[in-house]
Amino acid sequence: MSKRQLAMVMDLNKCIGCQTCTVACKTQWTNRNGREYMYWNNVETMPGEGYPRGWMEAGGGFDEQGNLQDGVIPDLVHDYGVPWDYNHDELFEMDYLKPDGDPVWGPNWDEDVGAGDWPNSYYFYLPRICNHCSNPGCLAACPREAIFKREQDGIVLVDLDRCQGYRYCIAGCPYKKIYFNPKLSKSEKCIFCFPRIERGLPPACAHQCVGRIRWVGFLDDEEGQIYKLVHKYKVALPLRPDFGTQPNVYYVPPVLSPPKFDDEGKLIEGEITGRVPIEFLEKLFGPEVHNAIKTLKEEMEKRKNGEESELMDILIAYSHADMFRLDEKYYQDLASEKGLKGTEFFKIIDHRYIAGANTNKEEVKIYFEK
Amino acid sequence: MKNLVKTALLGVVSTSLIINASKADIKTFFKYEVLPSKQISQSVPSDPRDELWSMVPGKYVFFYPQISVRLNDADANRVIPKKRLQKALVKVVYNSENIAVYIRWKDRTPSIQPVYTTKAFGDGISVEFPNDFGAGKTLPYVGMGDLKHPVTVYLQKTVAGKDYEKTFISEGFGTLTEITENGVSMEMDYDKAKREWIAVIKRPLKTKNSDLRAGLVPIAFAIWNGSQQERDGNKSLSRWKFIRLKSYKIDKEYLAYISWGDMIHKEADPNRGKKLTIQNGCNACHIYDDQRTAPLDMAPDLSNIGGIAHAPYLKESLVDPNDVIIRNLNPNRHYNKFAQPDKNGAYPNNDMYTWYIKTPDGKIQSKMPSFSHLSEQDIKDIIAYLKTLRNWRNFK
Repeated sequence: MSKRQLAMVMDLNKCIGCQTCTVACKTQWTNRNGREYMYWNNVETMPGEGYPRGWMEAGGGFDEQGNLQDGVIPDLVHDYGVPWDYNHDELFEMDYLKPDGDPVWGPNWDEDVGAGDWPNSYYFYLPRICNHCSNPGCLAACPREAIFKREQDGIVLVDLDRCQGYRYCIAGCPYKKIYFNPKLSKSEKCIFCFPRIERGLPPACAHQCVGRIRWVGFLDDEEGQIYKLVHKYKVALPLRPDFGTQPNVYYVPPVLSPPKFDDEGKLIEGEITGRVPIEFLEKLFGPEVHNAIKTLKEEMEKRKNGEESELMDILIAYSHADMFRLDEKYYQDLASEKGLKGTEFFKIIDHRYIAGANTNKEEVKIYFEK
Repeated sequence: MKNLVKTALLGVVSTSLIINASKADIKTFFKYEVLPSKQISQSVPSDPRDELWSMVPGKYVFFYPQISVRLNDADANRVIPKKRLQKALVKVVYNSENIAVYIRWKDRTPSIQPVYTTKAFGDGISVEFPNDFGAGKTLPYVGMGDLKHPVTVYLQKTVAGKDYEKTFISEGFGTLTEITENGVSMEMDYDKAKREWIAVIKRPLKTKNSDLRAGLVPIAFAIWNGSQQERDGNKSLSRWKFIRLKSYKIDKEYLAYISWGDMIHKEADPNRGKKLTIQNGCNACHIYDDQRTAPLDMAPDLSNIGGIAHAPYLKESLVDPNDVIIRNLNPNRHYNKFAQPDKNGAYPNNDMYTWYIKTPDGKIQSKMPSFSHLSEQDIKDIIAYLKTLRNWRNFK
């Protein structure tokens, strides 16, 4: 449990699947040192197997009584996919383009496949990062208690000093958003770009998003757009709430799917979510999705009629300053209170990530003088 | 040694906890629980292939799958019922400075954790010593110690591309903390012809954490079979064994304590013991034998307690549960869905599954009540019954 909680909202109506977020994250954090296969941020096509393959059926999370469930660890080759490259140089010798390995799966392997029969086929994009859950399955699964949730902002991190690479966290996370680093033999995961957050910057995936689909802020900041989307209008919903981990990444469900055609090629009116079956959205976002869609449609209608709509103004995403309500001062004050020193620009409040949150060391290294 | 005896005399021992072995107990104890050793004058070998080992007497130690706590890897749990009792040949040599333990066990599926994998695990071996033992000192919980009995653990795993050997201090589940000790070496070597792993773990007799210069040194073992996805608590472990170091005197008081109950199967009635466990409600919290109605994780699963626990340890657990408080596996595994979540939606942990409570004055108290009111014969019958519990195959 944390005192405050950071959250992210993603508007699925605006995601174009360009993978800029994926690349922003990869180049920032996961292109080296055993993380090559990991995608802390990925964008997958729904309906689909996703990344890692079949994560939604891989177990973990909690049952209705609140007990941790067994799960499986995805396989590197078959579920994550081994990173590969192409023979670009050989193209000059009239070879054809081919991968340098024999991949059988990878992130975005089933891009744009979706479901449904022509002319009513459908899909939408689902960007996923670690949900920084309020009851994290990874944290509950760790027999070493190496995973911790920061009380300042609820970010879930791995204490790499305590982690021994047992991988129960991967089985315990129902979103499969914690990964095994085979080079370090330790688990690693999305860190919500906390070094950026502590400087008042949003995570790289959110900042780079060309569709401006991501909002970042504190859930208890009632002036913030996060609070308004999640609590005031209740249009942003957690993914698979039935997994029981209380995720803190919220999604505005897709309601702008094109309409369906009947057998004679005529438009079918009245399907509220177009071609995307409401049952599928209910599976992903829980029963609250009905009210969320209703609110979204009503507010869109208002705007169409020339009326004011605060919700639509928020979703249009006019300015980054409003979308990312982060508080550099909050962190730097915490650092001052603790007497932590850094550079003149930056005091890292999270010395625990480096020094180990739960580790009793024989010799504690002093990274930051008191 | 004198100091130890003094502490023992001063230490508060409840009347029902007087544990004193009979001559028959001691005889059986030496036959089954004591590992021989060889004192040498040259340096102690750290190489599993050293010729010296062929001249050292050994003894077999049995290993039981750890099922006291259930872990959450579905694939790994699926193979647990297929596991077999394992055994390893153990030899010990020592000189005035160092001690080396040689362990040899069959493994038809040698596995090394590959450089690039998410699912594969390597084989491994570990030995543990109590940080403190001797007259007046009770035995730690065999699974990595407990809150009052820290242990030193030496671990060797097979991981491609690195020498994965580590030393830890542990006080129970989840507390393993890596340390460094000088003069420790661990080697693991696979004998392809015999399809056996051979490991040698060498350490100084005295380190800053423990001093093994005694007539009887408690030691326990664990082995991991990587091909069965074993790691961490998912392993096979032995009960406490005792190395006889002949150049040191055996403390009679300690011997009388640790060998108590080794003949209990002749003196007590396990059938009556089973009835007593049911009458006393053990099955409300513990799962064992055919008694499987207690909620999972409520208390340690006792299905193979007879394999991994000694009679004196079982007696202490019954009459003075506060002496051996075992920490829960991560208490966050169960949250209370019926409690009010906090403003961020987080539910508090379900206290029902915590194995101990903190009293207002900060003391840690086991949730298990004391059964010291039972008669000596009742306790013996229960222990005799618990010692028969090695039926880990019923584990679900």
